[in-house]
Parts: sequence; structure tokens; C-alpha cells
Amino acid sequence: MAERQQAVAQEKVVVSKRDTWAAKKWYTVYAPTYLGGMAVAEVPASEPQKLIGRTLEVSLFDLTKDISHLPIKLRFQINRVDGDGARTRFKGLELSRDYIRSLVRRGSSKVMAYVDVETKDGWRLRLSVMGITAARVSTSRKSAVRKAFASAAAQKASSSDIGSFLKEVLEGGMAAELFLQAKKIYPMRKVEVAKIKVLRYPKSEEVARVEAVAEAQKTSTPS
Amino acid sequence: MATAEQPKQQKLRWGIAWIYSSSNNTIITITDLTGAETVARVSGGQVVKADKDKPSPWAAMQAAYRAAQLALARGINAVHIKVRGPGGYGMKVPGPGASAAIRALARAGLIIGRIEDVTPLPHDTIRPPHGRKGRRV
Repeated sequence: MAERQQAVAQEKVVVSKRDTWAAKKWYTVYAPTYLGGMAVAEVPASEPQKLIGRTLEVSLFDLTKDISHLPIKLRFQINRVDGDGARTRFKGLELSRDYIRSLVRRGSSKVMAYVDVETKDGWRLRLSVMGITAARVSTSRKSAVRKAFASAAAQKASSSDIGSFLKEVLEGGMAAELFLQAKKIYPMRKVEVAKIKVLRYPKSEEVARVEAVAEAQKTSTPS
Repeated sequence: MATAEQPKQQKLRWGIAWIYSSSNNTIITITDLTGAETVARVSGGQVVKADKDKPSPWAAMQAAYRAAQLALARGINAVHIKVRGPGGYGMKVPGPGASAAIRALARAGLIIGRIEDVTPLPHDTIRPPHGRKGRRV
């Protein structure tokens, strides 16, 4: 494979004469510390300050090497650059479309609940919880299931900080808890946290970001 | 997965290959993982003379090969693939060039990671153009 790559790359490549690409430096991007902090990607940029604010999508599989984690996609946003490393913060979570499609079937209902929760350390998150029932359910039962999802999710979030909360979600503890709550109302086939959006970061996180931007601007324009 | 089979000594630098494949053209854009830096952008129209050939699998193959060359020369040797069709009120599935382009990227020596369909699908539908009476030709 490697030889093939070299052969392909060396054939007359049509890179323009004034190619800015050569001047770009590669930075290693690290996952947030509360998610393990391992290197997840390498990203090129001409100036370190240009990295700040970029988001990238990583499969949970890349972090854990667990095949069952493939459909879980995490979004990280770069908020600090030190040297060759770029630090990120959690920006969101989503399930891949083909996975959701594989769950949704005829004759059973999909119950979606959108819940705004706040963690102990001040992160405001919007979760969308997806439950797949064993059989078709009436609307009243659906809304009862949604209510159960909402209270269980809010309770879980308010008693944990972002690190343990995300861990709970990613390892399936959260889904198991929601499953138990929903099962009391109607038999469920599958319950998943389908999406997480960050609505508001805690103050400490915001301050750190502003400082990082200011510092990056200072270092890139030495005059 | 392709990642597990690779020999250890080769360092992988991942990018994303965005393949937009409609019934009129195929556009291949290779970017870094953030999508902020474009490494290569080649379309079917750049490799054929007649407009009717733009969506053809052959054009997609040529375009993908050229994009792969640029990507490899710039240091990206592995890609995740995001395929899409027009979506919206149009085709919901990728066009004729998509599979040819993916195969050509692999043949050119790029390591292929995950392949995902990212066609923009409306939850309801948007109103198609040309009003209630449709396109009158």
C-alpha cells in the first residue's frame, strides 16, 4: 500500500507554483481532559490562532477501539493551542444516520424526547433521547415515556459533573437508566441518547477560551 | 475495519473525502478532519469535454484519482468518506459517480475509513421550484 501511495503521489502532480500548503504546520489535536485527553487527529494550519474555533468529528470508536461504539460521533472544538498541541472542548454528540435507520422499523414507534439539562458544574446541555418501543404505542403513552425520560435525564445530570455525565452517556449507563424508567410505562426495545448539544458552557470554560484567543493574537502579531 | 489491518510503521494522517454526486456532476473535495483546510477539489467537469459526461462513473474515477494524487502529495494518506446526493426536494440517493469515486480513491492508495451518507434530508419537505404548475418547457 505504501509503495502504491508513493507511486501515485509522484506522478505529475498538479500543485500550483505558489502553493501555500507547504508552509502549513501540522498540529496534534487532543480530546478534552474529561474524555481521556488522548490525541485524536492531526490538523494543518498556517497560524496557530487560525485553529481556534474549528470543530472536528471523531467516532467514539477512535477513542475506545470498541466496535460497538462506531455509530457514536463526538464533536470537539479547538479552544486552546500550546506549541504543537491543540486542546479541545466537548461540543456535541450524535448517532450516525445509518445506525438510527437500522433501529427504526415498521410496527414499532420511535419516541423522541428533547430535554434541557444542567450539570452540577454549570454545563447546559440539550439531550435528545430516542426510545424505540417493542410495539406501536398510543400518543398518551408516548408522552408519558417522554416525561419519564425528561425527569430521569435531569436528575442524572444535576447530580454529576460534565466528565462523569459524559462517561455515563458514552458507556451506556445513562441509556440503561432511561430504559428502566421507560419500561415501567411500556416495553422498550432500545433507548439511546441520540444527540447532545451544548447550549451554554460554564463560566470558567468561557473565560479560558477568551484568554486563549487573546494570547494567540498576541503571539501571532509580535509588534 | 481498514484501520486495524494496516502495518504499524506507516503513520496515518486522516482527512475527509466529501463526495457530492448528483445526476449532473460529481464533485470530490478532500479536506482535513476539521473541514477548514481544503486539500484537493476536483469535479467531473474538469476531466471531460462534453457536459453530458460530467456525471459518468468514468469522470468520477478520473476526478477521484486526481484528488487522491493531490492529497497524497500534501501528506494525507487516509480518508473517511462522506457521500451525498442532492437531497432536499431532489434525489435522496447519491448519483452514478459516487461508488466509482470511492473505488478510485481506494485504488489510488488512500486508506478508506468510515463511509457515511450525509445527504441533507428534510424532516418534512421543502417546496420544489417552479410553483404549482411545475416546470413548463
